[in-house]
Amino acid sequence: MKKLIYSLFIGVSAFLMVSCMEVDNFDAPDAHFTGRIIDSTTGQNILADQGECRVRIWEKSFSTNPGNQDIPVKQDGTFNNTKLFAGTYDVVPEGAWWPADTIRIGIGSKTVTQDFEVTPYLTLFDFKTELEGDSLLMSCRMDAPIKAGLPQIMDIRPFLSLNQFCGAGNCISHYNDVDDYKKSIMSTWEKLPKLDDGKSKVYSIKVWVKPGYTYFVRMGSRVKDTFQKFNYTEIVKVEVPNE
Amino acid sequence: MKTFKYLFVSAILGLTITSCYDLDLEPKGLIYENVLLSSDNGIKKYLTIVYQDLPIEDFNYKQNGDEKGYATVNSNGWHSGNKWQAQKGSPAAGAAEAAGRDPSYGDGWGYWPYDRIRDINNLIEQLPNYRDNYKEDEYNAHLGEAYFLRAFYYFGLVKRYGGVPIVDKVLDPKAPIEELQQPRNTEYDCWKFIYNDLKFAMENATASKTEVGRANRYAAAALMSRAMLYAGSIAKYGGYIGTTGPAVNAGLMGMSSDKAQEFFQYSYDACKFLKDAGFTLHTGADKEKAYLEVFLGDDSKDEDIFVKQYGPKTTTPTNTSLFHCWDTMVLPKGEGLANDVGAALQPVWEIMGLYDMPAITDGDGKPVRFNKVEDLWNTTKMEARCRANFFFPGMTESVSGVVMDIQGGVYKSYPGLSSDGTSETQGSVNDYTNLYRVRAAQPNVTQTINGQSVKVSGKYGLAEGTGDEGYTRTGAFIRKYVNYNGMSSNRVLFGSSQAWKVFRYGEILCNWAEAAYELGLITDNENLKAEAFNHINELRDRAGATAHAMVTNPKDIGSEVYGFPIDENLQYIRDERARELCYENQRLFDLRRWRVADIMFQDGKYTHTLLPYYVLSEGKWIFLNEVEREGRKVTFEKRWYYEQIPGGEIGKNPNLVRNDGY
Repeated sequence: MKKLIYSLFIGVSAFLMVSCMEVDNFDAPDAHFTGRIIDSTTGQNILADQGECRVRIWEKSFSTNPGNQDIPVKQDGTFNNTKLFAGTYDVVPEGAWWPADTIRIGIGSKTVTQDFEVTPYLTLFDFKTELEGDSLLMSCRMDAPIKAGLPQIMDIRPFLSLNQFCGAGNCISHYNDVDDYKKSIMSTWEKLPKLDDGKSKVYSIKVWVKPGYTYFVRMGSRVKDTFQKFNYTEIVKVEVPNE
Repeated sequence: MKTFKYLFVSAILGLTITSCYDLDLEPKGLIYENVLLSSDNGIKKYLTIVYQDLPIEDFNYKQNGDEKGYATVNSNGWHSGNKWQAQKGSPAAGAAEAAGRDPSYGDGWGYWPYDRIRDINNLIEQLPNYRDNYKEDEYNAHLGEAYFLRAFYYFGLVKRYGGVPIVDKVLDPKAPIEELQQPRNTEYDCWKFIYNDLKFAMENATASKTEVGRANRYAAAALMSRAMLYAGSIAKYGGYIGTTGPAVNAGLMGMSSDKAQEFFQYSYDACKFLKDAGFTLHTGADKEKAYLEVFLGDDSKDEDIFVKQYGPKTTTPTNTSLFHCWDTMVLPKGEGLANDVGAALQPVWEIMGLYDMPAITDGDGKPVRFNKVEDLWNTTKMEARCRANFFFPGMTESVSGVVMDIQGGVYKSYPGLSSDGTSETQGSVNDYTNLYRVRAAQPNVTQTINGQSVKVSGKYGLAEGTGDEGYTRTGAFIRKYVNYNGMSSNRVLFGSSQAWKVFRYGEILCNWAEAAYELGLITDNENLKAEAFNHINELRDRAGATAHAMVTNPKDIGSEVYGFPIDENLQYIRDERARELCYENQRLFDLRRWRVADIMFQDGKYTHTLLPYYVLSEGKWIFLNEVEREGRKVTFEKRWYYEQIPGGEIGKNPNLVRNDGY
């Protein structure tokens, strides 16, 4: 009996020794990469929609042909990712601006802050809103910082939202469905109707809004490049009074 | 006890030592090349799987959803499943040809058939060793067949991805990895490669037309006319979409527009070759009957160039999808009609409205009143081809004798314009329709309205509460390819076996007209443009449609909308192609190669109906193009002009550059 217990004991402890492996866990990625996208025409952060444009990164230390990761650009023009693997990355901001250079940076234990200065395709200015009863008239003009080689300007649209996030990805989709609310332009800069100062004419869009609601509105326009992301005006808050 | 233990241990040891067999045995039951390649029958056996896996977008091709892909090469894996729900993810829905589920092109499923290409390369390399078994022309015919099949596979690849690695010899799996990791060739080189393979096939494959399901030089010419037309459009229009990036710069996505002429000319020449070979449109005195025979007749040898044949489920091998479900998927559910599913794919006004038919809206914008629903189609004002392609309300289905009882609803009165009742919202619901329109939740419902008992919904549609299948939501059913030769008991899942016309002379004329007109635009040659319209009018004459005169100073209707010029004559040629080739799984790829799909479906577009309504106050019928009640929007993301290279392949081969735009 004793022998049996001893042999069992040896057998079990043999199993236990073999099964006590190290917990196979790597540390969670926690490299921090952050920065701003700066509009070269204003020196301020670019006017963007939450999550529309992106900073695309490739972890080159991991593979020679890795898949990309995208860090979304937020409405305030900043981007931030605190959960990256430490390594060497190729980084390029992609969005409603002239193609930027891809740069190589190392991201490690310290926070890496990288600001990108980009030139937007279009700058929208003179944004005006005029509320008349349940009709909201929005108007703006546009200019092109770089005119040579500008891809065709596709359209200009109103974006209305019921919260502070407003843009192509954060809007009431009804305003995309009504033909009168979006103006298809489909023109090169040369053929665009302009006023005397060389910038575009005024684009006005009149939309119906519901009394009693508060809207955040802006207008946006885009060009026919690879990404077709929008250049925006600032956001204006419009409170529609009850009838 | 001790001896027993020793004996036991030595016995075990003995067994383990002697059980080490050298398992270097030849498997029994394999036939090798020496047998296969020495006769035509052997080559047929060798090529069976190559034919079976050909990228033909047929009845079993699914663009989106579960098991998307070809019948035997799809997202579920190699040779799995027998397809039954292909129509639910049909490319016709993504092209706004029909209302179905999944109306988009989608992100693809990773089509990378280099295994079949290897089989063909092997045949090409090994066949010279067996040359003595064949007469000269038979030997060339087999080589031509191989080149045709290889070009077909590359066509399936290049139209999806742009430039792909050109592998034209058998690679040794034991070669160093660097040799096996082939980079992508430019898109131009790939189309030229397809051209060269097809040129060889056109000159060498058999000149006999007897085996219509087998490669011959005419199938090669037909593929040439289709593939080169694609290449020409991509060269001409590809640059307009404005995508840039490393893959574009490397020539992997797109070609310079000066290459367009070369490819349009190749297509033009191949079409002429087929005319000279004696192919013609199948015609007849009764044009509706003749058009039906194009797809289902025994005798359309005049028009058939290459046909994929199917068989009854009871006798075809498993997992080959050599049968399909077309009839039960497009007919309505009902006695003598679809026994399963029903109406998974139904026609929409975007296509129906392109045909010659009586106007449904008059000059003032009001709906035209018809005395009977049959007056829409039972008139010479509707072209015979339109009656042959669709089941309209009141038509009789010949096998079952069933009359297609379709009604959208009742309008108590209709005092306004067509636009009042057809607002751009799901189901076109608005104050006007709420006031005047009555629809039913179930089919075949009669209600009392304003004291009168009146039928509100037809037996086969429109019913608001029956889901998206079984009954029509759009006012018609697809008639093309519905088998009128068989029995209605075949209208079950897996019960259909009518052949799929891979290439027919009707498509060749569409290709020819487009290539001729594009060449006429490039070389400023009015004769070529006029010739294009001769081909168009030949198609229209067979279809029973009125001839169309080319416009001498055509307007540019493209620049305002798409940003590049499309003149109205070219648009007419494209519309004729839509009319002729509807539901043959071409339109989605056509919209894609013309680079109009992203703007055409920008923000998502609803599809529309041709629903008959009974106007109670007048006792007459009107037809309305409402938004169909499921309200699915057709979308096309710009990145879908090129599918992304499959991630698994990049993992194996880091030399594959990813496509831009993603």
